[in-house]
Amino acid sequence: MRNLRLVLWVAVAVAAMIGGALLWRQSNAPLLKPVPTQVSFGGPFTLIDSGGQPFASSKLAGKPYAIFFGFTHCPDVCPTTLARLVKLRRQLGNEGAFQIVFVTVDPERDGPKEVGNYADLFGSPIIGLTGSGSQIAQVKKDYGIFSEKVGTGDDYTIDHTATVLLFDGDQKFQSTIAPDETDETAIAKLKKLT
Amino acid sequence: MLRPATFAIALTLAACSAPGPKISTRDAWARETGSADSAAAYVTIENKGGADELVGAKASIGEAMIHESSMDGGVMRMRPVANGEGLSVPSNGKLMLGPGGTHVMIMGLKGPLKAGDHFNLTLLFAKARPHKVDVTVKPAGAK
Repeated sequence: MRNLRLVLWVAVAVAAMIGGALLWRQSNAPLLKPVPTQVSFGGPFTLIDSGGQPFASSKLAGKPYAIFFGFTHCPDVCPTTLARLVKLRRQLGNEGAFQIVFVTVDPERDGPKEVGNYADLFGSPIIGLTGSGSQIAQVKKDYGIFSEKVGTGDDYTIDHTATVLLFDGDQKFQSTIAPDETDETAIAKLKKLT
Repeated sequence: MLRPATFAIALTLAACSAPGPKISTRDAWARETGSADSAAAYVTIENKGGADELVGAKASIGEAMIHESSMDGGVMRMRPVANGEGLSVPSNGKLMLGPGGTHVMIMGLKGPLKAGDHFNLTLLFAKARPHKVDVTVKPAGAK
Protein backbone atom coordinates (compact mmCIF):
# COMPACT_ATOMS: atom_id res chain seq x y z
CA MET A 1 0.00 0.00 0.00
CA ARG A 2 2.75 2.40 1.01
CA ASN A 3 4.53 1.69 -2.26
CA LEU A 4 1.41 2.30 -4.31
CA ARG A 5 0.82 5.64 -2.60
CA LEU A 6 4.41 6.59 -3.16
CA VAL A 7 4.16 5.70 -6.85
CA LEU A 8 0.99 7.77 -7.19
CA TRP A 9 2.58 10.75 -5.48
CA VAL A 10 5.60 10.46 -7.75
CA ALA A 11 3.23 10.39 -10.76
CA VAL A 12 1.54 13.57 -9.49
CA ALA A 13 4.93 15.25 -8.99
CA VAL A 14 6.11 14.26 -12.48
CA ALA A 15 2.88 15.56 -14.05
CA ALA A 16 3.28 18.84 -12.16
CA MET A 17 6.91 19.12 -13.29
CA ILE A 18 6.04 18.51 -16.93
CA GLY A 19 3.21 21.05 -16.74
CA GLY A 20 5.50 23.54 -15.07
CA ALA A 21 8.23 22.97 -17.64
CA LEU A 22 5.78 23.54 -20.51
CA LEU A 23 4.52 26.78 -18.96
CA TRP A 24 8.07 27.86 -18.26
CA ARG A 25 9.13 27.20 -21.83
CA GLN A 26 6.25 29.24 -23.17
CA SER A 27 7.20 32.17 -20.98
CA ASN A 28 10.89 32.10 -21.90
CA ALA A 29 10.93 32.80 -25.59
CA PRO A 30 14.59 33.01 -26.74
CA LEU A 31 15.40 29.36 -26.07
CA LEU A 32 17.12 27.35 -28.70
CA LYS A 33 14.61 25.24 -30.59
CA PRO A 34 15.69 21.70 -31.51
CA VAL A 35 14.57 22.07 -35.15
CA PRO A 36 15.81 25.39 -36.45
CA THR A 37 14.03 26.00 -39.74
CA GLN A 38 13.45 29.74 -39.96
CA VAL A 39 15.49 30.83 -36.95
CA SER A 40 19.16 31.57 -37.25
CA PHE A 41 21.95 32.01 -34.77
CA GLY A 42 25.40 33.42 -34.88
CA GLY A 43 27.07 36.62 -35.94
CA PRO A 44 30.51 38.15 -35.54
CA PHE A 45 32.07 38.38 -32.10
CA THR A 46 35.34 39.31 -30.49
CA LEU A 47 36.20 37.37 -27.35
CA ILE A 48 39.46 36.57 -25.51
CA ASP A 49 41.51 33.45 -26.22
CA SER A 50 43.48 31.28 -23.78
CA GLY A 51 46.54 33.47 -24.30
CA GLY A 52 44.62 36.54 -23.16
CA GLN A 53 44.54 37.97 -26.71
CA PRO A 54 41.45 39.23 -28.55
CA PHE A 55 39.91 36.52 -30.71
CA ALA A 56 37.72 37.66 -33.60
CA SER A 57 35.20 35.18 -35.00
CA SER A 58 36.59 35.92 -38.49
CA LYS A 59 39.55 33.70 -37.49
CA LEU A 60 37.19 30.73 -37.70
CA ALA A 61 36.25 31.42 -41.32
CA GLY A 62 37.18 28.94 -44.02
CA LYS A 63 36.57 25.82 -42.00
CA PRO A 64 33.34 24.56 -40.36
CA TYR A 65 33.03 24.78 -36.61
CA ALA A 66 31.02 23.41 -33.73
CA ILE A 67 30.50 25.86 -30.91
CA PHE A 68 29.53 24.87 -27.39
CA PHE A 69 28.82 27.07 -24.39
CA GLY A 70 29.63 25.80 -20.90
CA PHE A 71 31.84 26.49 -17.91
CA THR A 72 34.97 24.87 -16.53
CA HIS A 73 33.43 24.03 -13.13
CA CYS A 74 30.84 21.92 -14.94
CA PRO A 75 31.90 18.37 -14.10
CA ASP A 76 29.46 16.30 -16.08
CA VAL A 77 27.67 17.66 -19.13
CA CYS A 78 30.39 20.00 -20.45
CA PRO A 79 33.29 17.53 -20.51
CA THR A 80 30.92 14.85 -21.79
CA THR A 81 29.88 17.09 -24.69
CA LEU A 82 33.43 18.16 -25.57
CA ALA A 83 34.69 14.57 -25.34
CA ARG A 84 31.89 13.55 -27.67
CA LEU A 85 32.76 16.22 -30.22
CA VAL A 86 36.39 15.09 -30.14
CA LYS A 87 35.27 11.48 -30.63
CA LEU A 88 32.94 12.41 -33.52
CA ARG A 89 35.73 14.37 -35.19
CA ARG A 90 38.01 11.32 -34.95
CA GLN A 91 35.24 9.19 -36.43
CA LEU A 92 35.10 11.55 -39.38
CA GLY A 93 38.66 10.55 -39.94
CA ASN A 94 40.51 13.80 -39.53
CA GLU A 95 41.30 16.34 -36.85
CA GLY A 96 40.87 19.11 -39.38
CA ALA A 97 37.30 18.16 -40.35
CA PHE A 98 35.88 20.96 -38.20
CA GLN A 99 36.96 23.26 -35.40
CA ILE A 100 35.66 22.84 -31.86
CA VAL A 101 35.01 26.09 -29.99
CA PHE A 102 34.27 26.24 -26.26
CA VAL A 103 32.88 29.53 -24.91
CA THR A 104 32.47 29.97 -21.17
CA VAL A 105 29.20 31.29 -19.76
CA ASP A 106 31.05 31.88 -16.47
CA PRO A 107 33.53 34.71 -17.18
CA GLU A 108 33.61 35.46 -13.43
CA ARG A 109 35.54 32.28 -12.69
CA ASP A 110 36.85 31.36 -16.14
CA GLY A 111 39.67 33.60 -17.29
CA PRO A 112 41.95 32.85 -20.28
CA LYS A 113 44.05 30.42 -18.22
CA GLU A 114 41.03 28.43 -17.00
CA VAL A 115 39.44 28.05 -20.42
CA GLY A 116 42.86 27.19 -21.87
CA ASN A 117 43.55 24.46 -19.30
CA TYR A 118 40.09 23.06 -19.83
CA ALA A 119 40.30 23.05 -23.64
CA ASP A 120 43.71 21.34 -23.44
CA LEU A 121 42.35 18.42 -21.42
CA PHE A 122 40.81 16.58 -24.32
CA GLY A 123 43.92 15.61 -26.24
CA SER A 124 42.69 17.26 -29.44
CA PRO A 125 42.58 20.92 -30.50
CA ILE A 126 39.76 22.89 -28.89
CA ILE A 127 39.58 26.69 -29.00
CA GLY A 128 38.70 27.94 -25.50
CA LEU A 129 37.25 31.44 -25.26
CA THR A 130 36.25 33.83 -22.50
CA GLY A 131 35.46 37.54 -22.42
CA SER A 132 34.13 40.36 -20.33
CA GLY A 133 30.69 39.99 -18.79
CA SER A 134 29.14 42.12 -21.51
CA GLN A 135 31.01 40.38 -24.37
CA ILE A 136 29.76 37.00 -23.12
CA ALA A 137 26.22 38.34 -22.63
CA GLN A 138 26.16 39.59 -26.22
CA VAL A 139 27.49 36.38 -27.77
CA LYS A 140 25.02 34.33 -25.72
CA LYS A 141 22.20 36.49 -27.04
CA ASP A 142 23.36 36.19 -30.66
CA TYR A 143 23.78 32.43 -30.38
CA GLY A 144 20.47 31.78 -28.58
CA ILE A 145 22.14 30.54 -25.42
CA PHE A 146 20.37 30.59 -22.09
CA SER A 147 22.30 30.42 -18.83
CA GLU A 148 21.40 31.02 -15.23
CA LYS A 149 23.48 30.91 -12.08
CA VAL A 150 22.21 28.51 -9.42
CA GLY A 151 23.33 28.82 -5.81
CA THR A 152 25.50 31.37 -4.07
CA GLY A 153 29.06 31.65 -2.84
CA ASP A 154 32.04 30.13 -4.66
CA ASP A 155 30.37 26.79 -5.30
CA TYR A 156 27.60 27.98 -7.58
CA THR A 157 26.68 26.03 -10.66
CA ILE A 158 25.07 27.19 -13.90
CA ASP A 159 22.12 25.84 -15.83
CA HIS A 160 22.79 26.40 -19.49
CA THR A 161 21.88 25.45 -23.04
CA ALA A 162 23.74 22.25 -23.79
CA THR A 163 23.04 22.22 -27.52
CA VAL A 164 26.03 22.42 -29.86
CA LEU A 165 25.66 24.87 -32.78
CA LEU A 166 27.16 23.97 -36.15
CA PHE A 167 28.45 26.51 -38.66
CA ASP A 168 29.86 25.96 -42.13
CA GLY A 169 33.07 27.42 -43.53
CA ASP A 170 31.17 30.56 -44.59
CA GLN A 171 30.18 31.04 -40.93
CA LYS A 172 26.56 30.34 -41.71
CA PHE A 173 24.49 28.58 -39.08
CA GLN A 174 23.57 25.10 -40.31
CA SER A 175 22.20 22.91 -37.55
CA THR A 176 22.54 21.77 -33.95
CA ILE A 177 23.54 18.68 -32.03
CA ALA A 178 21.50 17.97 -28.89
CA PRO A 179 22.97 15.86 -26.08
CA ASP A 180 20.34 13.15 -26.54
CA GLU A 181 20.84 12.78 -30.29
CA THR A 182 22.52 9.63 -31.56
CA ASP A 183 26.07 9.69 -32.88
CA GLU A 184 24.77 8.65 -36.33
CA THR A 185 22.53 11.73 -36.56
CA ALA A 186 25.34 13.94 -35.30
CA ILE A 187 27.84 12.52 -37.81
CA ALA A 188 25.37 13.05 -40.66
CA LYS A 189 24.99 16.71 -39.67
CA LEU A 190 28.73 17.19 -39.36
CA LYS A 191 29.33 15.65 -42.78
CA LYS A 192 26.92 18.14 -44.34
CA LEU A 193 29.05 21.05 -43.11
CA THR A 194 31.91 20.38 -45.45
CA MET B 1 4.24 -23.13 26.73
CA LEU B 2 5.60 -19.83 25.58
CA ARG B 3 8.51 -21.04 23.52
CA PRO B 4 6.76 -22.54 20.44
CA ALA B 5 4.58 -19.44 20.22
CA THR B 6 7.61 -17.13 20.24
CA PHE B 7 9.25 -19.35 17.65
CA ALA B 8 6.15 -19.15 15.44
CA ILE B 9 6.09 -15.35 15.68
CA ALA B 10 9.79 -15.16 14.84
CA LEU B 11 9.20 -17.36 11.79
CA THR B 12 6.30 -15.20 10.63
CA LEU B 13 8.39 -12.05 10.97
CA ALA B 14 11.25 -13.61 9.04
CA ALA B 15 8.90 -14.61 6.26
CA CYS B 16 7.46 -11.09 6.04
CA SER B 17 10.71 -9.14 5.88
CA ALA B 18 12.19 -8.83 2.39
CA PRO B 19 15.61 -10.32 1.66
CA GLY B 20 18.49 -7.92 2.19
CA PRO B 21 20.21 -6.18 -0.73
CA LYS B 22 23.42 -7.67 -2.19
CA ILE B 23 25.38 -4.78 -3.62
CA SER B 24 28.32 -4.93 -5.99
CA THR B 25 29.82 -2.27 -8.25
CA ARG B 26 31.70 -2.08 -11.54
CA ASP B 27 33.06 0.44 -14.07
CA ALA B 28 33.84 3.13 -11.52
CA TRP B 29 35.53 6.04 -13.24
CA ALA B 30 35.95 9.79 -13.23
CA ARG B 31 37.12 12.23 -15.82
CA GLU B 32 40.43 14.05 -15.66
CA THR B 33 39.98 17.65 -14.48
CA GLY B 34 41.56 20.99 -15.32
CA SER B 35 41.88 23.94 -12.99
CA ALA B 36 38.32 23.73 -11.66
CA ASP B 37 37.98 22.05 -8.26
CA SER B 38 35.04 19.83 -9.14
CA ALA B 39 34.69 16.43 -10.77
CA ALA B 40 32.06 13.84 -11.57
CA ALA B 41 32.36 10.14 -10.79
CA TYR B 42 30.40 7.37 -12.49
CA VAL B 43 29.69 3.80 -11.40
CA THR B 44 27.31 0.96 -12.10
CA ILE B 45 25.68 -0.46 -8.97
CA GLU B 46 24.31 -3.98 -9.19
CA ASN B 47 21.99 -5.56 -6.69
CA LYS B 48 21.47 -9.33 -6.50
CA GLY B 49 19.23 -9.09 -3.44
CA GLY B 50 16.26 -7.08 -2.16
CA ALA B 51 15.53 -3.50 -3.15
CA ASP B 52 17.64 -0.72 -1.68
CA GLU B 53 18.29 2.97 -2.14
CA LEU B 54 21.46 4.93 -2.76
CA VAL B 55 21.28 7.81 -0.29
CA GLY B 56 24.69 9.43 -0.45
CA ALA B 57 28.42 9.14 -1.06
CA LYS B 58 31.72 10.07 0.53
CA ALA B 59 34.97 10.62 -1.34
CA SER B 60 38.56 10.60 -0.12
CA ILE B 61 39.39 13.63 -2.26
CA GLY B 62 36.58 16.11 -1.61
CA GLU B 63 32.98 16.60 -0.69
CA ALA B 64 30.73 14.17 -2.55
CA MET B 65 27.07 14.62 -3.42
CA ILE B 66 24.70 12.73 -5.67
CA HIS B 67 23.64 15.02 -8.51
CA GLU B 68 21.21 14.64 -11.33
CA SER B 69 21.63 16.33 -14.72
CA SER B 70 18.42 16.74 -16.65
CA MET B 71 17.45 18.31 -19.95
CA ASP B 72 14.70 20.87 -20.13
CA GLY B 73 14.10 22.41 -23.56
CA GLY B 74 17.78 22.21 -24.51
CA VAL B 75 18.91 23.54 -21.14
CA MET B 76 20.95 21.25 -18.93
CA ARG B 77 20.18 21.55 -15.25
CA MET B 78 22.14 19.99 -12.43
CA ARG B 79 20.60 19.49 -9.02
CA PRO B 80 21.59 17.59 -5.92
CA VAL B 81 19.37 14.63 -5.18
CA ALA B 82 17.55 15.92 -2.10
CA ASN B 83 18.68 14.90 1.34
CA GLY B 84 16.99 11.79 2.64
CA GLU B 85 15.60 11.03 -0.80
CA GLY B 86 17.25 7.94 -2.19
CA LEU B 87 17.78 6.65 -5.70
CA SER B 88 16.23 3.26 -6.23
CA VAL B 89 18.58 0.29 -6.58
CA PRO B 90 15.94 -2.27 -7.57
CA SER B 91 15.85 -5.83 -6.39
CA ASN B 92 17.90 -7.98 -8.82
CA GLY B 93 18.53 -4.88 -10.88
CA LYS B 94 20.99 -2.07 -11.22
CA LEU B 95 21.46 1.67 -10.92
CA MET B 96 23.78 3.23 -13.46
CA LEU B 97 25.47 6.54 -12.73
CA GLY B 98 26.76 7.78 -16.08
CA PRO B 99 27.67 10.89 -18.10
CA GLY B 100 24.81 13.33 -18.64
CA GLY B 101 22.59 11.74 -16.00
CA THR B 102 22.91 10.90 -12.36
CA HIS B 103 26.47 11.16 -11.09
CA VAL B 104 28.53 11.66 -7.97
CA MET B 105 29.64 15.27 -7.95
CA ILE B 106 32.83 15.87 -5.99
CA MET B 107 33.60 19.41 -4.93
CA GLY B 108 36.54 21.07 -3.23
CA LEU B 109 39.24 18.97 -4.92
CA LYS B 110 42.67 19.77 -3.50
CA GLY B 111 44.33 19.26 -6.85
CA PRO B 112 43.42 18.23 -10.39
CA LEU B 113 42.60 14.59 -11.15
CA LYS B 114 45.08 13.10 -13.62
CA ALA B 115 44.45 10.15 -15.89
CA GLY B 116 45.61 6.98 -14.14
CA ASP B 117 44.94 8.31 -10.62
CA HIS B 118 42.75 6.33 -8.25
CA PHE B 119 40.63 7.46 -5.35
CA ASN B 120 38.17 5.97 -2.88
CA LEU B 121 34.46 6.51 -3.05
CA THR B 122 32.10 5.15 -0.42
CA LEU B 123 28.51 4.66 -1.48
CA LEU B 124 25.89 4.96 1.25
CA PHE B 125 22.70 2.96 1.11
CA ALA B 126 19.45 2.96 3.05
CA LYS B 127 19.82 -0.72 3.94
CA ALA B 128 23.12 -2.16 2.73
CA ARG B 129 26.34 -1.35 4.53
CA PRO B 130 28.55 1.40 3.08
CA HIS B 131 30.22 0.11 -0.08
CA LYS B 132 33.77 1.16 -0.90
CA VAL B 133 34.65 1.69 -4.57
CA ASP B 134 38.03 2.23 -6.21
CA VAL B 135 37.56 4.92 -8.87
CA THR B 136 39.93 5.13 -11.84
CA VAL B 137 40.57 8.54 -13.40
CA LYS B 138 40.37 8.39 -17.19
CA PRO B 139 41.50 10.87 -19.84
CA ALA B 140 39.04 13.74 -20.34
CA GLY B 141 38.34 12.46 -23.84
CA ALA B 142 37.05 9.09 -22.53
CA LYS B 143 33.47 8.16 -23.47
